[in-house]
Amino acid sequence: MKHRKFFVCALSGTFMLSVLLSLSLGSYRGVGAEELFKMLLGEPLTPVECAVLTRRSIRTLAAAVAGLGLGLSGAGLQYVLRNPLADPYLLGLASGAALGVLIGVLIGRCDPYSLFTLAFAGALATFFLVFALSMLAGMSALAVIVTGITVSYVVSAVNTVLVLALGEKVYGTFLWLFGSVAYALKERVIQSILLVSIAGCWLIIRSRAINTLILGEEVASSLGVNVKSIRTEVVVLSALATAGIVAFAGPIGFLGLAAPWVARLAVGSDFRRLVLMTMVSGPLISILSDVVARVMLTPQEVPLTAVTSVVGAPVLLYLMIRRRVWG
Amino acid sequence: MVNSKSIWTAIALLALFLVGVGAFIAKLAADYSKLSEDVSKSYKEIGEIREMMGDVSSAVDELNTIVKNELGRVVEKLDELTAAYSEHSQAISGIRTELINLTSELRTRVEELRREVESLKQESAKNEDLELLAGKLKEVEDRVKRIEEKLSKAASLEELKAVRRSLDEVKRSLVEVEKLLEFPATIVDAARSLVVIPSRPSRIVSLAPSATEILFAINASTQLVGVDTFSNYPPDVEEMKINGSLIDIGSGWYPNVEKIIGLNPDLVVGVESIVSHRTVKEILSRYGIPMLLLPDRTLEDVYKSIIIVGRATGHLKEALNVVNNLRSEITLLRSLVSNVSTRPRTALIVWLSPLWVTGNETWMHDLLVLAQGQNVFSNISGWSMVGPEALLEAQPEVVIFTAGDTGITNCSTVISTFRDVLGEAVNKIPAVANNRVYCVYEEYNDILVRPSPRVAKALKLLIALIHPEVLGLKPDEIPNDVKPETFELPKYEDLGVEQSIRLRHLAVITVKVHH
Repeated sequence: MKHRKFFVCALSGTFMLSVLLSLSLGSYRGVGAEELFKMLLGEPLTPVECAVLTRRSIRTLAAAVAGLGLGLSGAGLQYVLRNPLADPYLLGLASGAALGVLIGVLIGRCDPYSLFTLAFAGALATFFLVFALSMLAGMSALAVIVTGITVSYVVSAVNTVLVLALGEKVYGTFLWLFGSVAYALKERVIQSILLVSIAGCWLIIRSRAINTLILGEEVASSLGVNVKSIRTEVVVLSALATAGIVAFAGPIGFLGLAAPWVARLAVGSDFRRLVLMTMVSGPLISILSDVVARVMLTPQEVPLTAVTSVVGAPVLLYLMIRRRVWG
Repeated sequence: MVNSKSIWTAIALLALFLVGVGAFIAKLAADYSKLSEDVSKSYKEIGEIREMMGDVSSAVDELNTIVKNELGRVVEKLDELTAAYSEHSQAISGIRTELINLTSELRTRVEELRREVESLKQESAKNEDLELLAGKLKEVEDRVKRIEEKLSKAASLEELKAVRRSLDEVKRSLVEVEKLLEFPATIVDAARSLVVIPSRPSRIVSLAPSATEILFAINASTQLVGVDTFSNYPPDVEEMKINGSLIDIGSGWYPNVEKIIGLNPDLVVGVESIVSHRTVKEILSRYGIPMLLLPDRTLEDVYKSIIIVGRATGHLKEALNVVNNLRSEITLLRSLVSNVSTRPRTALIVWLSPLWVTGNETWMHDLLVLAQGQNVFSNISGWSMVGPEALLEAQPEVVIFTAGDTGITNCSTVISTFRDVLGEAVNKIPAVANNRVYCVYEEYNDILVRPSPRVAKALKLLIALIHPEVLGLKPDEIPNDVKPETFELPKYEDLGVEQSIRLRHLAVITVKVHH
């Protein structure tokens, strides 16, 4: 228990540090920690410094929202689908959003508003297909997973054909297709915050019920929990939250899987504590990844997925191994 | 002895004579009475006329007196008028010459501006700003015409004064027209959005090598502060990147927004075809940074881009010059290949594995057509991936591969790559069988793959590869690996292209522009 408390404190501390780091690091050298403290002390900044800091904070916010939403959705899905490897893209959202973007390029609607709307619509459409099929299949955990994966593959096949057919026109969307918050727009991030917080609040409210699922579906039912309805709720809400994120940042990989696991290794598998901890671990991983993504090859932008895996994997593996040692 | 018989005969003759005379007299009398009747009638008429004549003469007398009086007055007036005229005539003639000078001056100015606007209109027909400008100029021209008409008729001082007033009006609208060519500039860019550039930009960021080349070509390089990683022409760019006068803002595909904002630019230039530039434009608009998306599909788009950048940076004259020179050089090159008998089937490959080829709706396709080649992939739009069999199917007689950043340094690699996939069928491709597979590198690669002011040079290169004979080259003189070190494009002087021919082509262009 003692090391768990230490872990919670360490993660929270690192989270705050990562925010400061994210605000003070970037490819524009003129704004660093010094200017950040100046701003915090209320000293006036030049308009350019102000603009750069604004942009960085939007980026940081975008990364945090993406980490939060994906982490929470991942945590919820891992419990209700009773599968430790579940992540939000299991529901076909990533390939659906990519389909929307590719259709946008195909019909020549490449402005950021159309692309956002099309990505969001594509993600939701694919999800509803998955949802309808899993309802037909009885809404069991297995049904959701199998239909999700199947639909994802079908949509990905269409995407591949589109990428080939679109040729060079698709080039400019690659950063989006690989996930990045470099071009996040403020309004879109704020809209996603709304969806993410609805999903988050619901998960917290229902965390007791979700927690019973650890014991197995029969036990949960015998404890008076409607397993099917809670599964439906969590699937729909996390899909909505993820669709919002995918639409502005693209499919950032590994976050939905790693964030709940880091949290779980810190606070144990009690969902009530885990959901709160995921709210720290998710944004932490994505903000740190984004810092690396922008600093690694500056001034080039690196897709976030490439970094989340590189940053997230060692943390997760380290924790696994340490935990095994602690037994 | 006179016998009775003869007497009777005499009497009878006499009687006959008397009867004849009587008849004659009777006829005469009748005629006379008729005549006298006529005469008396005439007399009567004459009397009547006499009476009328009396009336007329009195009227004439009356008229005479009136005319005498009026004439006096008219003469008086005439005297007055002549005096006034002689008084003003000097002033009038002065004003007239002044006005004539003014109109001719205005005419030439209008003519000049109109020419400018015509070519501008040609370059960017969509630009509302320029439409407005052309409309205004037309108006001014009409006005000048009307003024000239008035001037030719004008006699009095009042009329001349009116002409002068309208001339002043024309002058004012000309000032307005000139203002339209100044800042703030409003430009409709390739994304069909209105870009407002409040003042002549002094901190420009370019997000594409072609845009950088345009900025340098129109003498706007001193206003440039940032370029993308791939910008490398003119060679000054590399130097300026090293000494820090130009900042690298990252790959043109994914420009670094923070870096751009940090440069505090007052104009950012991107291209339409890169999707991420739209998002960058949207983000930059939040920070009040105007961004232009240049059209970059066809050859016409290249001209348009140059004009748009010229207008946006305050280098319109230079931009028009660059475009005119480009057009005349391209027309000259076209005339060189106008008489070739064949149009070889050509494949323009931009990436080897996977095979990416150039289809229509690209400036590369346009150049290929101008070089009297036939694009075997003209059924494809833009650049696209095709299978290697498509190449076998297309049967190109010439294959040109832009090997710039692909890491391929030897043309035999290209053929062996084809052979790996197609086997010995590779020899069924005429270009392979006839050794007409060319790889272009370095500068030759860049001029082909960029919609930049160097497209004329790219056309020359394509002609050299497709129709070497028209440039005075033998096909085997051209190496398969085409680099500036191994192959030099012939100069126009060496081709014996006379200045007069060039001038004639210029005239053709001018006619076209006016048409």
